[in-house]
This record gives sequence, structure tokens and C-alpha cells, in this order.
Amino acid sequence: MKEVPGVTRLRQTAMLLFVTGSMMLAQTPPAKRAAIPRAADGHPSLEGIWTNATLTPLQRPANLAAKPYFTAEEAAAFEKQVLIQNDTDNQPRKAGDPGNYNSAFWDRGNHVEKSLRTSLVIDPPDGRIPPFTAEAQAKAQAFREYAAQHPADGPEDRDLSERCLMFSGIGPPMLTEPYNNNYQIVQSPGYVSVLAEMNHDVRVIPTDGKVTAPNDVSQWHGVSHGHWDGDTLVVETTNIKFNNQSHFGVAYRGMSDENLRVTERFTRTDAETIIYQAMVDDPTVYTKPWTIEEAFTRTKGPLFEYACHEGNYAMPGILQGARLAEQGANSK
Amino acid sequence: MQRLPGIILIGAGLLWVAAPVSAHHAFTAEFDGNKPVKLQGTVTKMEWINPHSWITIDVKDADGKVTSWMVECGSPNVLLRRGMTKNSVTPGMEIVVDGYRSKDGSNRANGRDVTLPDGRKLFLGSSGTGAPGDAPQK
Repeated sequence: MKEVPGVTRLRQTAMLLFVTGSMMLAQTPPAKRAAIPRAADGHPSLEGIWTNATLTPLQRPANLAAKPYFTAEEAAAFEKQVLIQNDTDNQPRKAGDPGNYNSAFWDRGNHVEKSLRTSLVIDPPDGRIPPFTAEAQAKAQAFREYAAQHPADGPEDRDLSERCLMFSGIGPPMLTEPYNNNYQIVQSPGYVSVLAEMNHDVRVIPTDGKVTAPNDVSQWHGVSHGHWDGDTLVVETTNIKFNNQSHFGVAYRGMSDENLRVTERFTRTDAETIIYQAMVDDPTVYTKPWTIEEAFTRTKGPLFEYACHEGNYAMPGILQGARLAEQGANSK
Repeated sequence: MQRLPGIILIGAGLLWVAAPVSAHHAFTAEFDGNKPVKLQGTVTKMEWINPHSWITIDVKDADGKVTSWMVECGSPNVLLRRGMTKNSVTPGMEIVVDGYRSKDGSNRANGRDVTLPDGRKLFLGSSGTGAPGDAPQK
């Protein structure tokens, strides 16, 4: 892995903080530990149907810069504000702007995280994803310039989710989607499997040192290895394919490349909750690692198939629209 | 043609600032903001398909000519969890759609705002996911 000079120490510090912070979470008091459902092998059971629907933003909004936590009253006000904002029918639109999906499409629940944090990003402490490296900034700029000239030459120019190929819900890192934020976890000796409703993707994670793919194989969801650290399932994922066709990494909808490493920690804290943490470390893209924390809350099943390509009328619509726009431009 | 920053998500500073702005597809890429349409018609079909459901309506113009339009609606899983069933929107219902026509000029429109003729919204959003976490938090 290519290391960027000067950030190695930062990276090591972040890793140390991630591990120690998570250890505090894993050291559940004995009285409470008894209440955690356990599998036959004694490890905590992560089985069940879960949702990570949340109104808490990934990054802390600028107007909350000095505020890592809401009060209960502030949280209620924020929830109301976000729900109103999401209902784009009520938002003023510029002429020529068709707007975006409204609340009939969203399904991110009605509440912020129970922790009352103001962002899912818990590290860096400012709740913001760290800046890109100079190299990544240049790549991003080049992509912006390309995209402005080639918005839809073919389906390859469009977002992977528009093409019904990949969504960020399954991760890693697992991040809240606009809707279908439902997951089913099945646990068996030596494996934990996660099924995501958002595009019926499954990650089968070995927990006993089994190797699922050779080291030189890259996959869209990477190659994951799990192990139990006390009562916490730790999953390390590397070999995440850099999807050059779509000009950015597939695992996280921002940007990542082939050097991405994600460390996830699943800690069942009570009958209703798994606390999920994920540290994103990509030294050629981000100037330092960053960590998110989200609660997965037990929810009703079943999960339904989301066969996204079934009626993806939007893709031909987008491509045909682009062709007509070109003809219009040529005839002027 | 500009893509929504929320869809490209290139600059980390742009990501999910206050409210999520990206969803499955970019409205700006598919629909023409300069072609607003207001359609009132009779439902002929509702397709419970992925990624989003579509309602087909017959719209009659002043001369009595009937044109079939397709209107994009929410994802079937989301509608189902909000309590909608295949009996909620049935052939023969009258609906009103305020939206924008597709860029390719076909008779398709986004269904951001779908109401019954009396003004009631057909799809009420944000009714929760049914998760325990959706109960009021104290």
C-alpha cells in the first residue's frame, strides 16, 4: 500500500483511538452482559432483522460545528426540520429544476441516533470527513471535468446505484441509504452473513480465520476477515475493487481507491441494539482515517427482494434525454 | 447537463451536509425542469416494480383525446411498509400529478406530488419504519 508521508503517525493514532474507544464499548458491565442474546458457541448473537434508518447526517452540519451532541429538545427540532427539508414539494425550486425525490420516496425513519450525536462521523472529533489528499483532489477535479462533458455517453457514466449495480448500504462501511435500510444477519459457527435489502447483496464473513479469496483478488465488497474481540465482532476488509469504469470506488459513495481498508466493529449492546462502528482508512484518498458509529435497531421483517433492474425505466430515460440534449445543442 | 452534487459525491465537503440530497436516481438527468406538467387522469394500472413503482393513467384532453401517461412513485418496499397495498391504488381512481415531463419527450413524469382530486396526498411520507427505534425517544 502506498503511504503518504507525514500522515502515518496520524493514522496510527487514529487506529489506537478507534481500538481503545471501541474496547470501552465492548467492556459491558457483567449485569448487562447477561441480557445480550448469545449463540450456542457463547459469542454474542447478532442474528435478526435490523435497521439503520436514521436522520442523523453523516457529517456534522456547519451550524452545529461546536456541538457534538444534541439535547433532547434540539434533537426533536432537528428531526422536524430534516423531515420538512426532505419533503421537497415544500421547498422553493429554481426555474428549470425538477427537484428531487420527496418524502414519498425517503425512508430514513423519523429520528436521529439515540446517542444524540450530531453526526455519524465520530472521528475526527469535528464530525467531518477529512480532506482529500492532493492526489485525490486532482483525480476528483479530473472526474468533474470529464462528467461535465460526458454526463451520459453510456450507462458507464452514471452512478453505480443508478445502474442498479451497487449501493452503499451493505458497505463496507455500511451507511444509511435513502430507503430500504433493512438487514438480516444470520450467524453460524465460523460465519456471520449480512443480507442487505438494498440490492439484496450478501456479505459472508468468516469469523474463524478462513480465507475466502486469494490475496490478489479484488471484489466489489472487498475481502473480509472477521474475528471476535471479546464480545465485539471485528471485520477487516481490504481488496475492495476500485471501479475505474465509474471513476470512483464502489465501497463508499464518496471516493476511495484500491488502498481502502475498512475496520468494522459490531457490538450487541442489548436485545434491541447493535452498535456498529467502521473506520475508513484510505491513505491515498483521505489525509487521515475517519470513523462512523451507527446503531442498528431490531425491526420487523421480512426483508423484501429489491430487484432494482426489474423496472429501471430511469436509465433509458436518462440516456435518451442526453441524446436529445446533444441533438438540440448541435442544431443550435 | 449537470448532475446533482449529491449523486456525484466527489468533494467530501459536499457529502450529506444537512439533509440527504441523493436518492436512487438523478431527477435532473431524467426529467426536464422546463417542461412542467399537471395531469389529471384515471388510473389504468399500478406496477409494483423495482426500483420504483409506476402508475399509468389515462389523461383526456379538451378534445376528448385520451393519452396514456406513466408516473413514477416510491419504491414498493417503502410503500408496503407505510401500509399501502395493491388495493390502495386501483384502476378507475382519479389522481392529479404535478411534476415534470421526462427529457426524452415520452409521456412519463415524475410523481413527486400525487394527490386525489380533493387535494389529499396519495403518498404520505415519513410515517416511520416500524422499528422500535421509531417510537418517541425519551
